[in-house]
Amino acid sequence: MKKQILLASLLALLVAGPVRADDRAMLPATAGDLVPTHLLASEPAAAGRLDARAPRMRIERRPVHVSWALPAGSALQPVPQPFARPSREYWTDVSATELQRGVELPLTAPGAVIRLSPSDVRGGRLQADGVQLRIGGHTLSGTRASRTVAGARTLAATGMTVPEASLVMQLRPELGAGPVRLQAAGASGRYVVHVFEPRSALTVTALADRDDLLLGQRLHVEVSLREGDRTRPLQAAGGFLRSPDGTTTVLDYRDDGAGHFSVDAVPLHASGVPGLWELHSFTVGDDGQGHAVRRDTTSVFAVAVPDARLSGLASTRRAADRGIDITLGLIAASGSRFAVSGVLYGRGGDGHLVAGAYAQSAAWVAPGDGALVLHFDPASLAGISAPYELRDLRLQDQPAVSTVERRALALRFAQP
Amino acid sequence: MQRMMLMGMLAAASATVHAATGVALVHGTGKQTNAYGDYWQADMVEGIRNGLADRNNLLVVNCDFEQYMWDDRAAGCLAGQLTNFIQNRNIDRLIVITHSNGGNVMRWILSNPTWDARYPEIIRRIVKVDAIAPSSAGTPLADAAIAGNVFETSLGWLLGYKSDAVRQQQLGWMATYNQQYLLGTGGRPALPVAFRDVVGSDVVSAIWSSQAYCGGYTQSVGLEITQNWLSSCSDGFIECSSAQAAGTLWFKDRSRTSGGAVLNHNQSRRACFGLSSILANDIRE
Repeated sequence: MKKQILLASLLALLVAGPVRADDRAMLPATAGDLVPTHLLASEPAAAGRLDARAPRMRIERRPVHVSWALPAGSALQPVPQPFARPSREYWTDVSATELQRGVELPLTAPGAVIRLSPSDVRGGRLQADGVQLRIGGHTLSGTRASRTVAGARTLAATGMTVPEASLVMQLRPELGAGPVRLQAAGASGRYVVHVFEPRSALTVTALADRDDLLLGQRLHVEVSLREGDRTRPLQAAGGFLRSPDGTTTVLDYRDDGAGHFSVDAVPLHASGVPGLWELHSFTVGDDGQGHAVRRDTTSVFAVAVPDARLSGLASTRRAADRGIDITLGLIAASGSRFAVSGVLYGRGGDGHLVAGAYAQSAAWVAPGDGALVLHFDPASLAGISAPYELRDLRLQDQPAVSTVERRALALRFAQP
Repeated sequence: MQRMMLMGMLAAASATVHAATGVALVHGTGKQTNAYGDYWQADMVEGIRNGLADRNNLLVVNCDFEQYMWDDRAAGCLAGQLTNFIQNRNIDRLIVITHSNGGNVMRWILSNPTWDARYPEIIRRIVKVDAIAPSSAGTPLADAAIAGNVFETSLGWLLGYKSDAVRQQQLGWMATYNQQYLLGTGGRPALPVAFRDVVGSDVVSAIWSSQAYCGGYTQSVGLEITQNWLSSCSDGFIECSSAQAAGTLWFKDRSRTSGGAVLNHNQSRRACFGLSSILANDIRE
C-alpha cells in the first residue's frame, strides 16, 4: 500500500508560541512513561568533530512535518520492551605469559568454539599447530583437537569481521566437555579469548526493567543462570556500565538469594557522542556436577539528557487544510532541533478505537517556552473519526539521537 | 462536459507518459567508492537496468556505511545522492533496492522524515523499497565479532577497529533502535512506503554443487564456524527472522528463484538464480 505523505511548506509555522494556560491539559503520565522531572542544559551538538572516527551529524534548521495513514488493524506497542537473549559465551583476556603457562577454560558442552585474538597482530599471531589443548586427560594440538579451524580472512568472507590475526577453532565434539587447558608457547602480547558453547543448555540472561531512561534515572537488571527450564544458582556476578563515548563505570552486583544477582546502574554523566549505552555482566556459576559455568552478557539501552520536556498543555484545532493540528507546549533548557511524533487513534469503520494516523514534526527550538505542532493532514485521517486519542507521543532531541519524553497516552478529545 | 472529460483523460495520459521511473541500488556495510563493480557487479546492475524504460534512470549509491545509520556519512550521504538523482533525472517514481545493512540506512530515512528537509521529498517519490536480506533485527555474528571490544577501554588496548555499522547491527542495538527510532517492525507504526523483504533461507557450500559457486564460492570452513551462531533458517549472515522483522515479506528465495535455489548473503547481491530478472520484472509492474 502506498501511503500518502505530504511535505507541508517548509515555511509553514511549526513552532507556535507558548500554549495558553486555558488550553487542555495532557493526561497524567502512567507507569512505563518516560517523563523528565527536571531539565539539564545539554552541550550544543557539534556539526562535525575533529576525530575522524566520531559520528558526524547534520543538523537541519528548517521545520518539517509529515503525516500518513496507518494500515487498518495496526496493533501498536507504545511502551518499548527491553531486549534480552540467553548467552552461551564468555570472553577473557590473558597475557602472553599466562598463555605460555596455560589458562583454564571451563566448558559445559561438547563442540565449543574458541577464538584467540591477539593485541600484537604480527608477533602474536598463532597457528592451530602452535596451540595445545589439554582436555579429558589428553593433550592435543589445536589442529588435532579441532573439527574446524579458521582465520580472520575466512570468517570475513562470510561476513563475520573478527579482529585481524584471530584464530578460531571448533573443538571435536567427541572430546566432550569439562575444563580445557589452553597453552601457546609462542604467545606474544595480550589476547582476548572468546569461548562460545552452541550446544550448551546452560545460559545466562540479563533482563533489564526498561529500554530507555533519562540521565540520573536508574536501570535495574536481573541476572540469572538457567539450564533448560530450570534455574541454577550463580556464584558470582560483576560488570560495568559503558557509555557511547567509551567511559566505563564498575558496578556492584547484589546476591538476591537463591543464586540470583541484580544490579542497579545510574548513568550520571552525558556521553560525549550519541549512541546507545551498554551494561556488561560477567558471571560464574556451576553445572551441579562441580564444573564451572562462565557466561557474559550485554544489556543495551538508550539514555537521554533531559534538555526539554512537554509542558503538559496542548491545544487542538481544525487545520486550514481540514486536517487536525495538535499544538504541544514545550520547555527547553537548551536550544536544539526537537521532534514530536504521535499516533492518532480514532473511531474506525466498525466503531472501535483504532490506530489511524502517524505524524512527526520537527523544528529548531530556542531555550525557554515554546511549542511544536503535530499536523495530521486530511488524507492521513481518512480511516478514523472522532473521538480521538493521541498515543505513543514522543519528544526527541534529534542531534542527540535521544528520546527525552515518551507517553503511552497523552490526550483525548472529541472534536479538534 | 465531454470536452472537460477529454481534457482530463489527455492530462492523465500525459502524466503517465512523463512519469519517470528510477531505480536506486543501496549497498550494505562498507565504504563504497565503486559499488557498481565491487559490491553489486555488472551482471546484477545491468540485469536490473533491463526493467527500466529509460536505462539511464539507474543510480548506484556509493556511501560510507561503516558508520551508524544516522551519521551524515551514511543517511546524509544517501539522501544527498537520492536527491541529486531525483532532480537530475526528474524521477517521480523511485524504486529503491537495498542489500543487508543498506536496508537499515534507508529505513532510518523513512522512519525519521523530519530529521532532514530532504527526506520528505525523497519519500514522496518512493513507490517501494525492495529490501534484500535486510539486517532489520541485527545479526548474532555482529555480537560475536564485536562484544570482545569491551576490553578496548577497560584494558587500554585495541582489538582492532570495529565499524559503528557492525556495532549497530548487534541484536540488542537493533532491538533498541527499532523500539526507539525506527518504524516498521512489530508493534511499531508502519513505514510511509512499502518495505518488502527478500529473504535468503540457507547456504549451499558443498564443493560439488554448482549452486555454491554463483557469486563466488563461500568457503564451507567459514560457514561451519559462523552457522553455530545462526538459526537453521539463515543466509549465512542474517537470520530469516531478522530479514523479515521490518515491513512485509515479499518472497523467500526458494519460492521465486530459478530451480528453487537458495540465496546466501553474498548471492543476494549478485545476478544469481534469476534474482536480477525478478527485480527487473518488479520494476515494470
